Amino acid sequence: MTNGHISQYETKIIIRNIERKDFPAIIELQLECFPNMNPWKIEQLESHIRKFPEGQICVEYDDQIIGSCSSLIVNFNDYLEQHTYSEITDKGYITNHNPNGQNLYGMEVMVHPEFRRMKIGRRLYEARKRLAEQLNLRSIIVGGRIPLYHKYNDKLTPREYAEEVLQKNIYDPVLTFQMMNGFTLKRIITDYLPEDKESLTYATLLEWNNIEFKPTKSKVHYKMSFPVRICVVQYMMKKIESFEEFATQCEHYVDVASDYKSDFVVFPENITMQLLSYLEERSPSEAVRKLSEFTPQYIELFTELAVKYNVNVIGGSHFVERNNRIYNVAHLFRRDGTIAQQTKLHISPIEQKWWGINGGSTLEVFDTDCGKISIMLSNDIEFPEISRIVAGEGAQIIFVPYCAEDRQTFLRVKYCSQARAIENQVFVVTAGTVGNLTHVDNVDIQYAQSGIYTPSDFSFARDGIAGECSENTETVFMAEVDMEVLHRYKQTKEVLTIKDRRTDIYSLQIRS
Amino acid sequence: MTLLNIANTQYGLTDIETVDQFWNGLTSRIEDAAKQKVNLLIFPEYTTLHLLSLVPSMNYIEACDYLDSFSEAYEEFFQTHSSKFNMMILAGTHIHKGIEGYVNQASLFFPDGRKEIQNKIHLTPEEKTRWNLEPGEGINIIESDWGRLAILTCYDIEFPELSRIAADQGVELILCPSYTDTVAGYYRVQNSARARSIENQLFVALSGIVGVLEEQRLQIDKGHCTAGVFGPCDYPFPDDGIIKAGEVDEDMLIVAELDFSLLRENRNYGIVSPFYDRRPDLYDRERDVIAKRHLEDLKTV
Repeated sequence: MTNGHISQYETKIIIRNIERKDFPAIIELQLECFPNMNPWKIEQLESHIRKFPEGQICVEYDDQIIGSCSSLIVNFNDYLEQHTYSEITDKGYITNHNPNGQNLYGMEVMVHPEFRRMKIGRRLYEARKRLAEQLNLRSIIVGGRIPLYHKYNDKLTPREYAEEVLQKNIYDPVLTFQMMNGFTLKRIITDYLPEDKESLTYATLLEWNNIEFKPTKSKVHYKMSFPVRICVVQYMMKKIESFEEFATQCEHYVDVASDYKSDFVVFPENITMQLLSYLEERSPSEAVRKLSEFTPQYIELFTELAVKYNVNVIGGSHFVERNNRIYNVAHLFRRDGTIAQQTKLHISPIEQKWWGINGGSTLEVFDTDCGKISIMLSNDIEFPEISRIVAGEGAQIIFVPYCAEDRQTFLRVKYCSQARAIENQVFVVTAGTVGNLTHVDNVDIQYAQSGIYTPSDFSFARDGIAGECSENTETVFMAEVDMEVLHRYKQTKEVLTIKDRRTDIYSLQIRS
Repeated sequence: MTLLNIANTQYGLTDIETVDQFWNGLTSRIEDAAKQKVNLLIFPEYTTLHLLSLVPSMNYIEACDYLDSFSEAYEEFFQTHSSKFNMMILAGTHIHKGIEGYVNQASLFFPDGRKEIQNKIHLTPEEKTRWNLEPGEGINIIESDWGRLAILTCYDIEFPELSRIAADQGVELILCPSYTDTVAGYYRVQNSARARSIENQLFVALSGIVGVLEEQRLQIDKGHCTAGVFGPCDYPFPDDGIIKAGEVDEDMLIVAELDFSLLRENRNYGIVSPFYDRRPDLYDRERDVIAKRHLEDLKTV
């Protein structure tokens, strides 16, 4: 107190955006705070301030950087619930920063060990909250490490550990701090930071909701994407010698579909007729009865494949006997092991005449992990009434396994499938058989070009064809359809055949 | 009579400078059809919108008034030409003042002076909110020497219910004048038309607009289509169901001979008969089941 001036006691805490000149200090700080982890590279820091300068904040105290935090904006819905740190920060470069996103994602917060207990961390969190409010973001989401978990992992699961921290029975330097700052636990994620040995690579996902958030009418309110990958099998009806050979072929295709991470694999109608090539039964009515005896094996085979390869299987169709009558039944084998059936409703004259097939009496819409679906065998798709019913019930994909003997039969299925997609705003997926089964009467020739069809409008291919196989070859074809695009299309697009229906007129006319 | 010589237009949006040029364009197409002994000539939806290119850009209300000023001339022109050339002419559609408001109306002129009309039933959002048109309220089942006809304009063909109703009342030929300005829109109409033909085992005749106007207009500036006649993809017709189709986006007439006795043959001897194999009892029951399920869901909520 030589001259009595206060300035010598005065210090100043400045909270500001990170600039290029701070990079060396930031890296040094990071080495202090996380000695076991690799610090940022200069290019990464460079990328942060180029992509989202407002989101890069530091605390300066006596001309020294003593704390910092980094964020980016994302649409959290675009990411898997179980994302990794590397995915959501694009390997630390935040090139995935989305200025139109809804959530501020916190990448990192650090405070120099010598300056703790000065509420620096809290100040940084407050700065983030102000930023979220300023930019009108829905929430702040952070993936938090749980660095003391390794001391408890023999006694507690990560979830129990988080609960103990919440109850204040355990102090965790990260999680306790985040909870103190008004963040709530959303869920536990695994493999978040592979090099984070202290947390045993677990992390907690926490969220702070911005109550000031004012929703605007824009597209970003939808979940942006729900891709469903579909693999259609254009199955070759070649001669085989045993059921095992049939099983091997089917497994091959399910395996292929699974390799490409398909959600559905679709087999054609009458697929088990291939068995007739070694059963040597010439009488068609006897042949279908013999086939129906394979029902348990058929169901067992496909149930096992669906579970083993983790893919929903539309197992084509198989002849099933019920009360001494034969039906042509399509099967859905879900990847959770459950099974559902749709009996063919409109029997073709050939099926009636040669095979003595009966028509089913109920129409179903099935729930799957990819939304609601229906199955229409072959010429069932030629009757617009039933597609209307299932679309009204919420079906988003109609699967059409078919078996066509010639080009015109195939084209009826194709053209009607395309029209169903347009009329009802659904996806339609066809899968047909190819090849000539020279040893079997009445399934001797086949014609197919399997495909995936969509409504034709701006959100889709303009001709409504997501993709097609080449004609009459044994092959598979894969494409993705997006359930969210479909959902959005139904909500917002201009020409909407479903919404614009004039049911008043249809019934009026029918009565007269 | 079982043989009908039918012509569909792919009407080109050419640059015209006078009203006369518009009528002359129509006349030359009619003459061209007459040379080919056509019994029924079909112009596209919105044929008279071509006249909008003669005047400066208008809003939709002005356009309605302007188009309506041609109504008398339109009527007279087509009636005269139908009689003169002894040809049924579907004069495309014309937007004009109806009883309640403006309508998008198709008119079919007969040589004997008869006229049958059909207002568009399913209006597109543009027609509802911008044109502010009144929708049609029923299907006109039209008797002709060749059997029963119905007219489903453009978007109407995308609704399978209407074609079913028409087919159930004995219609064997659906006339579909259309106007689509995008490729996607054209595919919607064309794919729907083909399916209608398969489902109901009848003919669908599609006409449309092609070309681009030099100057943009709010209501019309370019068209995209291939016109043609479709049949069921089954015996005795071509396997792709295309009886005749035009070249993409060419200004042209597509003339085809339709044999209605073949349609009867198809219904009797085709591999399948989707029109007769329907199971309406099942549809009604399943609809009921679903309706009841919805009711129960509502109760549990």
